[in-house]
Amino acid sequence: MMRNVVKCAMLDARTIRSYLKNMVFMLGLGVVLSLVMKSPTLVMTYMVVILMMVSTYPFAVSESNQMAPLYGSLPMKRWHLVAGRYLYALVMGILATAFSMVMMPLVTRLIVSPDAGDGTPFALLLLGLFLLVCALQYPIFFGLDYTKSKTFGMLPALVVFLGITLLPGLNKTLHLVDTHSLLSGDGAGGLWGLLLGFAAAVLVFYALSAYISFRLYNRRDL
Amino acid sequence: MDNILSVQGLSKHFKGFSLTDVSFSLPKGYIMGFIGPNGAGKTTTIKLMLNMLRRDAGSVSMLGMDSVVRETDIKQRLGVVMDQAFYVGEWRLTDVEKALKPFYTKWSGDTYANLLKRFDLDKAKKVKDLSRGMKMKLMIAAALSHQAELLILDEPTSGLDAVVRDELMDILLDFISDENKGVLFSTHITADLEKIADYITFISGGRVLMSDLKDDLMEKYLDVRGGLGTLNAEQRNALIGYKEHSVGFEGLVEKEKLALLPKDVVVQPCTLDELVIRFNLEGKKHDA
Repeated sequence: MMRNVVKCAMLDARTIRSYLKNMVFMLGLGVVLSLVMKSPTLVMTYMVVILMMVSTYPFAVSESNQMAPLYGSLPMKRWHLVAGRYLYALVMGILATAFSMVMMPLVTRLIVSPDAGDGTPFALLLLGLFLLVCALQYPIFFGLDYTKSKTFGMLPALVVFLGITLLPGLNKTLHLVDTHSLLSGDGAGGLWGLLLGFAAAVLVFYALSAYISFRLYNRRDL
Repeated sequence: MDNILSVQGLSKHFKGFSLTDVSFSLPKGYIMGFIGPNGAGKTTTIKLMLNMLRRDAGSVSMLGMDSVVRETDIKQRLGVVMDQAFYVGEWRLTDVEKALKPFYTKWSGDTYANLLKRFDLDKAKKVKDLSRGMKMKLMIAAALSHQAELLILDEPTSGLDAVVRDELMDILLDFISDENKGVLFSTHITADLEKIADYITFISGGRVLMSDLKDDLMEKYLDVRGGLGTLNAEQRNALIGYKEHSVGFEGLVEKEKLALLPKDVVVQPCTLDELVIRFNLEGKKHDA
C-alpha cells in the first residue's frame, strides 16, 4: 500500500516535470533578488512563494491534460493518489528548504558579515507555513475541479501571509516572538520548543487535511 | 461459459439523465460492441465500471472479481483506452512508459518498444505532437504492454479515418485470439461492429434495449416495409421502431411475430444499422 503512495507521489513529480524547467531561472532570480535587496532571508521567502505555486501544479496539469481516466485505469485506490500528493508536497517542501538553507549562508557571506546566523529556525518555520498552506488548500482542490478551486485556493495563503505581514506589529505589541533569536538561530527564550510545538501542530493538521481531502475526493465523480 | 465481465443492475442518476438498471455480460474469448447514440450512457457505464463515478446501485464483476473490493487487482489486468489521450501532452513516449511502468507488476518494456515500432510511433515524440490515430495506438500499446486480459475501449475509432480504424480492428482481433481474454468497446459506428463484434449491447437513453450475440440478433429481427394504411393498431405495436413517411412505413419485427403481419409487406434481413436505428427510435418512444 505504501509503495503505491510513493508511486503516486512520483507520478505527480513526473506530471509536472516538464513545467519545472523555468523553475531553475526562478530560483536563480530569488538568489539575485536577495543579493540586490541585501536580504538573505528573501531567498527563503521567495522559495516558499514558488513552492506554493508548484504545490498545485499536479491539479492544474492533470485537469488540463484530462488525466482523470489515467487515474481511473491505474491499479491504485483513490486514497493512494491523495496520500501521494501530500507526500509530493512534503518532499518538495523539504527539498526546497534544504536548497534555501544552502543558499542563505552563501548570500549572507556575500552581502553581510560572515558571522550572521544560519537561519535554520526561520527555514523550518517557513517549511511549516508552506505545509500549513497546503493543508488548507488541498482539500479545496481535491473537492472541486481545478478551475473552480483556483479562485478560492489562494485564500488560505493570503491569510497566512497577511498574518506574517501583521506579525511584526503584533509582535511589537504583544512580544510574541524574539525575532532576532529566530533569525540568528539562538535557542534562547524557548525558541526551539516553540518551533517543535509548531511542527507537531502542522503535522497533525497536515494529516487531518489529508483525511478530509480523501473524504472529499472519494465522493467526487471524475 | 465463464464471464470475463458482468454488469448487473448498474444505475446512476444525474440532473437531466439517468442510467437505469444496466445489465450485460461478456464471456471470455469474445468481443462485445457497446453501441448507442450520442448521450446514450456508454461512457457513463464505462466510467462506473472503472469506479470513476460513484454508482447509485448495481454491481460490476471483472475477471471474476468485484470491481470495488478487488479494484487494484483487476486494474493490474485491465487495459483502458478512451477517446482522448489521457497522458501529459509534454511527455515523450518514453516518459509514458516511465510513468506507467511502476504501477504494473507485469509491465514489459520489450512489448512496449515492439508495439511502438509496429505502430510506427517515434519514442522521442511528445504526446501532444501525435495525431489522433497515433494517440489511439499509443494508448493501445500502453494497454497491451502490461499483459492486460480485458480491454475496455471507449469510442476508440471516433474521428479516425477508415485505414486507421481497420488497423485498430486487426489489433483487437489479434488480441482476442487468446480465448482467455475479452474486449468491450463502445462506439456509434456500426461498421466497426460488423467487422469484429461477437456480442452487441445496445444502450439508449440510459437503458440497455438489447444484449445478445450479434448473429442471433441479426437472425431474430427482420426489416419490414409496406404502404400506408396496411397495418392495424395491433400489427403496428408488434413492430420495433415503427416509422411512417409519405409513401409507407418501415420497422423491425421479431421473426416469431411475422405471422401477425399481412402477406403483402416487404420483408428482408435487417442490417446492424437498421437494428440500431429502430431500437433507438423504440427507446425514444418509451422515454416520451
